[in-house]
Amino acid sequence: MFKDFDIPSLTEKPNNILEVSENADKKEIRLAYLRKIKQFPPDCYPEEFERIRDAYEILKNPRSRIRSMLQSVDPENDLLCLFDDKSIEKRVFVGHKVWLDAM
Amino acid sequence: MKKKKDKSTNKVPTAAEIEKLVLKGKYKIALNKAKIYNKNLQTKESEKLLIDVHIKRISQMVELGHLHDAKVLISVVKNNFLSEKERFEDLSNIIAVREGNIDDFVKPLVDPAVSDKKRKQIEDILKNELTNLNDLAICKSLPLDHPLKTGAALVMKAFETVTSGYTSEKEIALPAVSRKSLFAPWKMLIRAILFFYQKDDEKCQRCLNAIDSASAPYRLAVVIQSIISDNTNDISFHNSKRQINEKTKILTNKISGNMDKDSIKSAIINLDKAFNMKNQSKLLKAMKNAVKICEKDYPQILEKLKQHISIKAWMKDICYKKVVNAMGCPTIKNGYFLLLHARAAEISGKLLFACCLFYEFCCQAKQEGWFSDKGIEIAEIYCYMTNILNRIDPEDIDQQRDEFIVVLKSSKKNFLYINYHNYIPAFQNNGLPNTDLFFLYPDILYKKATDINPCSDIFDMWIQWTFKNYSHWKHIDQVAILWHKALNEDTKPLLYLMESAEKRNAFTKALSYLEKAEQIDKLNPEVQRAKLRLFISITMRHLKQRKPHLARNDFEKIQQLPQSREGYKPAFLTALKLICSIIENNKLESSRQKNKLIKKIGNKISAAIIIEGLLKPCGIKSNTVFYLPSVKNIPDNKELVLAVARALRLGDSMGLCFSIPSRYIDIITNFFKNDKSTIEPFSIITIANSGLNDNYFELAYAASGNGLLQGGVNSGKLLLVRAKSLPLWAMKRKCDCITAVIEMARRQRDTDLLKEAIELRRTQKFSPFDFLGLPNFLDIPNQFDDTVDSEKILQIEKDTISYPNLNDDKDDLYDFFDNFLNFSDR
Repeated sequence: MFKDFDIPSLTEKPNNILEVSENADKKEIRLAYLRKIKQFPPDCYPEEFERIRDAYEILKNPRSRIRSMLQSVDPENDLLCLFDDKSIEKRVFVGHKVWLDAM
Repeated sequence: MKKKKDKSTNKVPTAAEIEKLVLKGKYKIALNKAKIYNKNLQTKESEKLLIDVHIKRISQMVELGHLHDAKVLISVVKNNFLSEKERFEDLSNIIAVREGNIDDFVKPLVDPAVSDKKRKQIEDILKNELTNLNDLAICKSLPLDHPLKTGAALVMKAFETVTSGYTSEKEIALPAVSRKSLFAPWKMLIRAILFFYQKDDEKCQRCLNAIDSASAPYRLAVVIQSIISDNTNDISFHNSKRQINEKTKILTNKISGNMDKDSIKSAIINLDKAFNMKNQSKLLKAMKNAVKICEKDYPQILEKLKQHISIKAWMKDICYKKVVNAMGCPTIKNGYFLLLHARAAEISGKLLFACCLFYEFCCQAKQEGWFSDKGIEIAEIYCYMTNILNRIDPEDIDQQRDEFIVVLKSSKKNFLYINYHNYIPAFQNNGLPNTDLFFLYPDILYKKATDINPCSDIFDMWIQWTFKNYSHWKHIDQVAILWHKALNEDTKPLLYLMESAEKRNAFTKALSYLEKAEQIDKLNPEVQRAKLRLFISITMRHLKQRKPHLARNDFEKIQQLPQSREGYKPAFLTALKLICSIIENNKLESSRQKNKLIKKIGNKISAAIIIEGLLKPCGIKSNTVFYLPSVKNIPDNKELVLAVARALRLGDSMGLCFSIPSRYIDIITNFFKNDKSTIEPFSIITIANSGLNDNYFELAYAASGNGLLQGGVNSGKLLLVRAKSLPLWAMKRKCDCITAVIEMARRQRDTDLLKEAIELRRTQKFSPFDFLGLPNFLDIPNQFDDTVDSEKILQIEKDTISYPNLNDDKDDLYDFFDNFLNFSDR
């Protein structure tokens, strides 16, 4: 399979790593990056730090951002990835109605 | 049991007993006992106690959401105790607010004469009981501009935003909502949800703590708390009267993704397995089952699942109708589907079709609002499409394109999805290149991409593509001119134009482009280097034309350039002066310049290599000035290596490619093999690259090995030299080296090295016919393994000192032929 080496390869979407929205602007991305590296300093978490830096590298450049989006869609992935445990553990957006129902 | 019941009903409870039950929260039992108590005593005290317990019980029912039962009970009690009617007014209001019937309840707020107490009472109930602010935002009894109405709408909008996707603090700031506002708990809840999704639990906790525990939003605070808190003994939340009920449990499960997935998971695992087997009926059965369960248990991803199934089935050549039958109905053909389909075509090697689908995706994505009509995303997708097209052999692309257009026109059967309306104008136009099918032509894609996003990188990609695909300078110049027009403050296109003019000896034109570049940025090092190179080209041209008087003028101009005085560059000018004196046959001057050159470059061998390299471009056939020392007369091999490297690097910096004298190849190769003394990595890389240029692969191999053993930041560059130096039949090793270089370059953020390695990987062809010296008519697949460990590869290459040879590395050769034969069988 062809791989785009111009952008770092990540197992997760970069905006999920930095926990920013798909439409986050440069300032928000920068703030999220700073917050994350504060949480995972390179001396204590070298691998996580590298991952955060890679995600930031992708997101800060609009061109690599779109390339990453294109590459993230992989039809060869097992269908089980749609139910990936990692994503299930995440905090899921369910819309306001579900929240209001619980009141 | 019956006896027990009789006993308990016969016995008249005491007031203390009932109060005790109330304190314990057992309102239902307390109410039954209070009824018996009042029936037996019939006093004012017993009646008051009964009413009190009724109020407690109704409150409990409201709290549990049993609003209808509560309403029925209120009406019964009101009828029985008419004098106590007013005591139930608050409860009735609460029920009305909870049910969203707030028009009558908030009506008094419009009356300017309403007392502050009443106003406060209404607002408190709204704060504590109103669960859906939309009811307030749309209520008819308040005027449109009433602060409660507008406030509710704003808060609700922020609530919807924060619960639907990642957002920023700015978007949900709600500056109009003060701390004293009845919406303050909502504001805090919204902020808590924002930080909850951002996984900033500390800030989230602070916001949760600030929510009034009597307010309605506190009910959701409990839910968030239950997820974020590892310490479930959090006192403030456990003391809350609000308990996690069934509905809040559902919310907790949904937002933390804890749905019961066992059945869907096993169905999907089965489906994945079925996709990997050849039994089609089993596969269709597995599809049907998975879709059915997903529809029931996990509807939020049903469409996505169906889209992936459709595309996977397409990749396996399974009849689409059968797939649709298995899934129940076809999937939605939205932007995501088209992107998935485009990627599938790309991966399957149907590259022209992939471009077609990427174009479809762009059209659909614009409609769905993924990006704007002229967004830079479109430009980037066009660039991505050119990368796809560049994977097709340039010699085949025209034929493949023609065939594809014919198929596209004539048959729909080959494609799962194509919007034919997009191509009708194209089909009506038979001339090529067909601008309506522009997505099949890299140059038109580049043009469109730069029209949308005129950035240097895309122009540079376009010009590099033009270099590879068109030999005539006019094509390259056209792109450079467009680049210059779009970005007139960019020096790069002018330097391309200058170089192009220089190559065809149009020096006046080249100088005019240089002048323009200097006007933009005179201090730019690239402009300065280009200027020196151009002046040297002009000088060499004059020398070749045997015009020494003009060359002498050029020397003065070069001398005035500060960049010509850096490092060993003055030696180069001296070498040109020496060539000039040879042309003029001025032996005295030749001797003078020769001594000067040796002095400036520091070595006779370096001087000889420079002169040897300049003779041909200056049109001189034989060298009678310098003779290279014979191998026997070399006193120190390290000195020789350094001298050669110095001359080669000087040539490089002037845009000339000097060669290593053949007589020194073995000495230098053995030096790198055996000597552990450290030579500067740049000198090693220069010698190795010169070796590669002149097909001295063993020399390049030995040099890279010597450099790799030194370690350091240049390991990536040296490993790339190693990859290039390996023989073709050591294919696996070659591929591993290239992959490791890509990984290392990416880690080091070395974009130049990364580009070079990617290009090498892209263009790497492995054909046994190259190896056997026969024409190449079949490319066998490469052996790139993206999971290789770069450190491991580096160590292997450090340890493997000897150049591979067919006797010792038979396995590699057999692997190579095995691969070739396997591919041929297919």
